Amino acid sequence: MKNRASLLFNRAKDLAAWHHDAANLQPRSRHDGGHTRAKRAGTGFDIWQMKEYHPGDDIRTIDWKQSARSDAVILRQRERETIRRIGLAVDTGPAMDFGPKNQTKRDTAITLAAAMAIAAIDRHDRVTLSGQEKPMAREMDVLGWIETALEPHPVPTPESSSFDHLVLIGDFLRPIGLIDDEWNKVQPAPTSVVQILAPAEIDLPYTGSARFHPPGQDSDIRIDDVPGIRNAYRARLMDHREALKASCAARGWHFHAITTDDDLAILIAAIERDGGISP
Amino acid sequence: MIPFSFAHPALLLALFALPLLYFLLRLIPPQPKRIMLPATWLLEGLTPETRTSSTIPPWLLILRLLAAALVIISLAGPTRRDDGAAAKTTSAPLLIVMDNGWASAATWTAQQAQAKILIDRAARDNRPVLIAQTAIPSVTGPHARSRADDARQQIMPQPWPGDSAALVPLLPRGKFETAYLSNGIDTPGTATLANALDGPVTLYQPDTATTALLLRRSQAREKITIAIDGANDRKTDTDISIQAIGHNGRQIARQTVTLPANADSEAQTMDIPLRDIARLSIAPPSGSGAGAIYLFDDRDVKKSVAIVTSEREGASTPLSSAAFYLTRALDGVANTKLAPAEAVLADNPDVIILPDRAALPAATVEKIQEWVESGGILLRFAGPSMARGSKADDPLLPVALRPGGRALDSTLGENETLTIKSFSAEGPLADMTPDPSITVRQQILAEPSPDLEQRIWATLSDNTPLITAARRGAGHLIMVHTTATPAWSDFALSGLYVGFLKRVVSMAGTRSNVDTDDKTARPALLQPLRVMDGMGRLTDPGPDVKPLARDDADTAAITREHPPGLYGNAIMKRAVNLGDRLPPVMPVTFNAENLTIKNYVAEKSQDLRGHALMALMALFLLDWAGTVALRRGLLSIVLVALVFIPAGARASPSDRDFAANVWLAYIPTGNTAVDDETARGLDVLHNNINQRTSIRTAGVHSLDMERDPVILFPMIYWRLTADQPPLSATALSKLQNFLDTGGLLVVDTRDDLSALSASGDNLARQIETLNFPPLVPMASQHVLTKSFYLLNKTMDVFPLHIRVEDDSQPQPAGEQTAGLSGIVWTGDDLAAKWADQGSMMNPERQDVAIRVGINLIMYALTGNYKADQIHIQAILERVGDR
Repeated sequence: MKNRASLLFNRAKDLAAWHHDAANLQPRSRHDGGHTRAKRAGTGFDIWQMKEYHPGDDIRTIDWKQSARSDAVILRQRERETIRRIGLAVDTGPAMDFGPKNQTKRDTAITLAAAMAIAAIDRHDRVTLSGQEKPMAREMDVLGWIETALEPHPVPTPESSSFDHLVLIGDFLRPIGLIDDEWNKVQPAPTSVVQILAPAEIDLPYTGSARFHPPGQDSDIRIDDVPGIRNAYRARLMDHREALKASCAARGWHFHAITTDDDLAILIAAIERDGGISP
Repeated sequence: MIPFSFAHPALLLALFALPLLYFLLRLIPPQPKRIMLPATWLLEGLTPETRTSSTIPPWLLILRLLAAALVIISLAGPTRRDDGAAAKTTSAPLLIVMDNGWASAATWTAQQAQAKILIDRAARDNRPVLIAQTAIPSVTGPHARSRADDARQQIMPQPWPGDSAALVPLLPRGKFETAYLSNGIDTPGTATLANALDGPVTLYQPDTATTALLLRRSQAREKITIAIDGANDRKTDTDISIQAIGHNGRQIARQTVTLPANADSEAQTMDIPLRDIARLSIAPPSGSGAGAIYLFDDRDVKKSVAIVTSEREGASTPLSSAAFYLTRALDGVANTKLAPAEAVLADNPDVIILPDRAALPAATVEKIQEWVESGGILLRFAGPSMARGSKADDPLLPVALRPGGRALDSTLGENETLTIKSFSAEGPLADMTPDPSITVRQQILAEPSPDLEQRIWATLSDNTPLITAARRGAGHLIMVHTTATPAWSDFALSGLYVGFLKRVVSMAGTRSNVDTDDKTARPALLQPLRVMDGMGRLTDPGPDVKPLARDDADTAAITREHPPGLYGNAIMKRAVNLGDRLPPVMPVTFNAENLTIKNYVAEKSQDLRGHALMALMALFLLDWAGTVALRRGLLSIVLVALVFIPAGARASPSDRDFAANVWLAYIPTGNTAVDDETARGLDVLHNNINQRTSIRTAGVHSLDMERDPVILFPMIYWRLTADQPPLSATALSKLQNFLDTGGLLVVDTRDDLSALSASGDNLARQIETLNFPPLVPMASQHVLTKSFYLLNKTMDVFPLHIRVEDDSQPQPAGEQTAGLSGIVWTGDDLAAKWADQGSMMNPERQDVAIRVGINLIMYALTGNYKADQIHIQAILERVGDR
């Protein structure tokens, strides 16, 4: 388990480093990492807006050059910078142990969360992983988290504290009603939902007859000819995904669906865009 | 009888299990698998829309059962066998007589195969086997099967004639059946053996087209006439190719002789200068074994003799000129050349004759001294100018001379003339007889000294020396104390003069390996130097080989003690050839009662495992196509077919393309991974050649050695693997022709110097049968290091293990490929390095390999152009500009 954890940790570190490099290739403004433009006036570096002076404004912000050119007194207001709080809620239930041996859904979820956490720590964001009480301070804390997350344990309810960006990672394969109940408890915040599925879950590539059972349960459903129900199953799976998407849209959340063999680097960029980090 | 046999017949019992397998498959359906699926709730209430076939259609079932049957059959090791007649049911022991004399090299495979069949059959009938051979007369056995097979494999063809009569006393008592495996040529004593045999005899004989041929020679003065001798029952004219191999191991000429149908011999004169030939051989496939090879010795090699002369001499007074007498005496013995003293070493002669010269320029003296040290022979004659001006410390004299001549009849007033009294028994002239009619009137005396006695080769009647000699390094200084003309004596007019000169010349030409002392100068015994084995390869002599008495060197019979080969020492070499000693070749006759004559049924047993596996592959393909068709419909069959068609239908370049363009060719090893890498590597090289040089290569071609016109390729790359199948005789002769016509063969042992030894001797032996000079590590100045890129500096950093032909060996005159290596031998695994593109590990190394490759192709195309010093100026300027 230790080996597996450090393998995933290294994979996540590579991913974060790659992501960091890719992000640095983009033209960036000069504001410090770890801070974000809050689209409010403050003491940041970049200029937020120029506006006319009204009594009560800070007179230190008067732009004398601009004021001399016009009749009014002009202020140069800067952006306010705040520390971002990110929450990463990962589904660690037994259902996540599905997928190819070397890349289960759990592996993918952990790698994704760890990479995002490392990237966030790197930016001096305050990042909290599911099950942890305090935000992460060092990269090595992430490794500790991976070790616990590799053990299957019951699905935790998403954090009730408030975040600037909350990311929910899991397979979300329970009936939509149960999922909606859970999501209703989540404090309103910009939220991204990442659904990770294994290719075998989508394609059902089995032949002949088979008995399917949910994780950790003995009761099973016998299918005599799996290829015969493949299309119907797939249609139901897609309907479920549409329902998830609709539920997210109703809440103003972002929804991403990936499989275990997709490229996580692109996904990370997309999720960070949801939270307004990457340009 | 069934024409099949199986290596493991018991495995065939498994065929009975096939119907059982069928019923088991039909009766017991497989248990459904239990699969964890997180979204199991999505499956609730689903029923299959269409039911796909869960039972296989009968034709597919038959196909699969057939495949299973084939697996069992091929595991059982099927062999098609044709033993000839069915076995006789006698229980008498079987005596197998292998005739393994010189002529058996040609028929050995057939003889061995027949012996194996006979041993196997005897083992089936539980009969003991005795094995006899004629070349080393012996009978072993009775053996059980495995022992008999071992004994059979230990018998090898030998290069001397067998002796069947010698087997008679060795035969066990009692009745037995005999199989006499002949090589088609009559062996002495066969009649005696036939009489001694009790019981049925079967004489096996080869197809007459494969019997051995014997190369004989009748010598003319300048050219040689060779005769091919054989027990020839060939129904048609046979073209036989004869190769002449030079001293450097390279083929120098090839001539075709047509042996008319049913003719026993055919003679033909070959137009080859004798001194260049080391051996003649009948090229495979017509010739094999020791009889097909004729060795030449130093009697055939004409030495070159330089006679020092001055302008004044010669033209005006021929009869008083030393050069005139010497040239006449050496006519036909050696190539003579007149030269002034300064230029005498220009052609590196074997012997220098210095008639009556006292002083030479100091520089010349030094050079001649060096030349003698390295094995040259300097022969000096006395004369008036020597009598006048000779110096006591002349380094080119064997003994110190007393100043002033001694004129016996006039100056000293002695009224007698001297005659030759004796030749020193220690010297090389010991066997010569003094001729009393020769008188010596004037001489130059030697200064007496303690070691004078040892240096005398011939003494005069008053015990003064006539001929003295001394060894200097590997060479000799010889002094004749009278003139080379009749001025001082009659010596120059006698037959002894000619004999003496001949002897001196024959001593020359041994400049490389002389480590004998004076005693061996006239050896009584000729030691074996290199002898032939039964397959006609020259090898080092084994412990059985005895020295040959010098006097019988030309008459001794060829036996186990004296196999054909080269005998001699540093001074003289004698070739012992089967063709010189054997009586006319006769077909085998065997006059026994109760005789059956049969032909060999060589190579009739055929391993069918390959065929079974091929059929299996085809069945699997059909099965796959069938399954795909069931699942996806007929369209997919078409797609599947399309996958296979392009591979077969891809247009291959024609001979015309090969001739018109430069192709990079390689010899496939049969190992797909290795060949793929080679092809990729050469492709990288091909791209680089086109990018970096003005050569436009057309592409990479995997050679089909049987069909492709090998000769059209400038360079052939051959990677060796341990498990590589040997090349066929056709392929080898094509390769030889390729080398002889200036092709470049790059042999790559792939970092694996053991590849050769591991692969057996198969491949090593094959490469040995190619004619090429010895290989030496490439010198840093070799043309290959500068044919395009200047590599000699690079090689300090990335050492390359390249061996090329030794170009220091003298090249036969007129050879166009002089100085060029036909074979480049490397252990660097160049193809792997070329193919290693994009490797971040060591890009420089790949680049070096590509540079070497470009230099190789440049070398193949431009030869020694860059070695030519004329261009050095231009090359240096270009380097300077850079």
